[in-house]
Amino acid sequence: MRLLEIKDLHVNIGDKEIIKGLNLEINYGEVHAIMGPNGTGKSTLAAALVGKPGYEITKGSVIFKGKDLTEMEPEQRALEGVFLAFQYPVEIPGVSMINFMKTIIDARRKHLGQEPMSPADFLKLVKESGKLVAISDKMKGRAVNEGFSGGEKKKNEIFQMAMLQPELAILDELDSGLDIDSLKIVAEAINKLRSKKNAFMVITHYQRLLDYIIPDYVHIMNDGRIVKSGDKNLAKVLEEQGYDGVMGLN
Amino acid sequence: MTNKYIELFESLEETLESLLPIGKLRKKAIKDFKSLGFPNSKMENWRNFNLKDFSDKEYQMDIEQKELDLGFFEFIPEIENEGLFIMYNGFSSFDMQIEKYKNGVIFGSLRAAINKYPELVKKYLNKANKQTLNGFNALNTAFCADGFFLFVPEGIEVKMPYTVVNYFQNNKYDMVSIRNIVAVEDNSSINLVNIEASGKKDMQFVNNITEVFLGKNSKFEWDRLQKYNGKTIAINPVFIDQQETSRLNKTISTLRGFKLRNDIHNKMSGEHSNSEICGIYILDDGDQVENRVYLDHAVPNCDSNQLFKGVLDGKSKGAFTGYVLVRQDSQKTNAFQSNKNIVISEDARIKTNPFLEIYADDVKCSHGASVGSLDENALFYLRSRGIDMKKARNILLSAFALDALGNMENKGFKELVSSEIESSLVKD
Repeated sequence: MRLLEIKDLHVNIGDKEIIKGLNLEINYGEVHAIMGPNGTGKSTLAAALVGKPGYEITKGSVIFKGKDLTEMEPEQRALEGVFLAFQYPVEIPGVSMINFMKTIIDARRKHLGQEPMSPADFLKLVKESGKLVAISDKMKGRAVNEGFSGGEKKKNEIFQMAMLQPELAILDELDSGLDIDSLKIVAEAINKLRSKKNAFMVITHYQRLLDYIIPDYVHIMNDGRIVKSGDKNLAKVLEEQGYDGVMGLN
Repeated sequence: MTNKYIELFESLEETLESLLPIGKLRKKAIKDFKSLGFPNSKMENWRNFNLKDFSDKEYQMDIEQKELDLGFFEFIPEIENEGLFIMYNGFSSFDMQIEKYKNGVIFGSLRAAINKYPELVKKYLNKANKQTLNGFNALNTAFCADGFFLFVPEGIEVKMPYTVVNYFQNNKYDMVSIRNIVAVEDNSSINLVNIEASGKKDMQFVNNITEVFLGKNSKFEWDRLQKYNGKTIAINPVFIDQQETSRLNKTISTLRGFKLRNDIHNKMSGEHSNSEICGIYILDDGDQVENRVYLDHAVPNCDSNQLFKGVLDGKSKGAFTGYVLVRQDSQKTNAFQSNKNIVISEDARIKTNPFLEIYADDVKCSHGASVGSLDENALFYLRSRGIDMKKARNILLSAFALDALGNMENKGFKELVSSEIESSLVKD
């Protein structure tokens, strides 16, 4: 069974159609890069997949592990194993990182029919996951994303991902706001988390990120559709020729 | 209507005096009431407070102390105390009691205190209350029959909290007048926890005045929790006088209130004093709750800070008025004020009125108010991590409101209030 199967997807924001018939298949163990110029619908695709209110799927289907994702509330999609690392993570004042983590872990485990984690196991998981992305204990003691730098916010997204172990992780412009050292740390964390049991959709504008997270497939989006797909070398060609050059090849 | 209360007073005066002998104060109060009458909604300070349920009805006073309903004990939370004083329908619950603790603290019934320590009580009684402010304040002095008395002698640092529980389960149209005194002498500190609740559906009227005297270099943390179910009209004026380098840390958490008004009059009488007043109100259905703070910076070099946060649902109406007066000689004053609200339903209303009246020129003062709805981006962020809508909403609202309890030092009570607030925000 495929992990994700998107067929003829159309997405509107308000009256405006942004995604205009997109097809994509992702299998377990794969990393797919979604590239494309600004305003071509990359982030809209991510938002529609996780069910952000205001993003209306007007046509097409999204099947995740054999289930229709479009019928599910955002929280159900998350519990099923879809995770979005936000381009702009939201600050939640007054909600401590630890309480937040405990709540999301408990919710996921409950959905999977597992017992709530013991405090000791939970703290161990927090420690191990935090280590992956060099999250300090000080950050863990703060409110979710509140006062975090751009880089810290992105690390926090991957921290949560490491805790939740989703089957499909969508990384929306992970490299924006990250300096090169942080980028390396985050990419390394993702590479460690890659396995036969999960898959990644890496949305990025620049090829730079793909030097660190090597994709199995590269798709180029334009005007709400995937206009070209290839292997990791497509990103290289793109680097040399630019979007105009690559899309001209089509 | 005023006449009916004067008649009621005349018929009860002797009894009231036998309960709580305050003599001339009572006579003067009824005189003041006679000339003031009840406030009406045309008065600026009473605009937001619908007095109809009060003025239309004839309230009586039940001076027969009832047996304590034992079911009510379930309501008393398990919190750490050195002293616990329970009032039922405005009277001390177990006969009248006043206790002098080993550390010198005197705590218990005002009635008992006035018999046992008459000079001490007279030193404070009605010294801060301005009964000429409005008819309700005068009415309270005229009809008061009991209340709590908390006295901390000089130089005592009290570690454990003292708790007063007020439970109202009166008959229909009963009027309760409670008078409380807190006196913290120089170089002393104490924490008072105040829990007020009503259980019965019948309409009752509670007029509950507290006078607070904070001596030099004293510290007073006062944490108040109000849970008024049923139709209780409650007016809670508070008069606080602060001497030099005293510190006030006051929290007031209101979980529902049929018609509730908290008037906090805080006077900085001594320099280098500090006042922190924080409040939360969680309103629903037809609740009407108003918080008013009057901060009088009468001397230089004092700091005051107010933070009030509200969550309003149903057809509730909330109001916050923050009045800060910085007198001409009160240089180097720092006065800050903030009122933030989340309005959930379209039918709920909040009025927020900041007033700064500043006559000194070397001061830092600010105020801010906001009225908004739940942050949709934050809500989606939580949901995208697998937290269901109901819980996500609850997490965000609780975090928003509980921010106002940041300075509360009584951790045990803070936990209790937090969980009460969290559960009061749960919606089916």
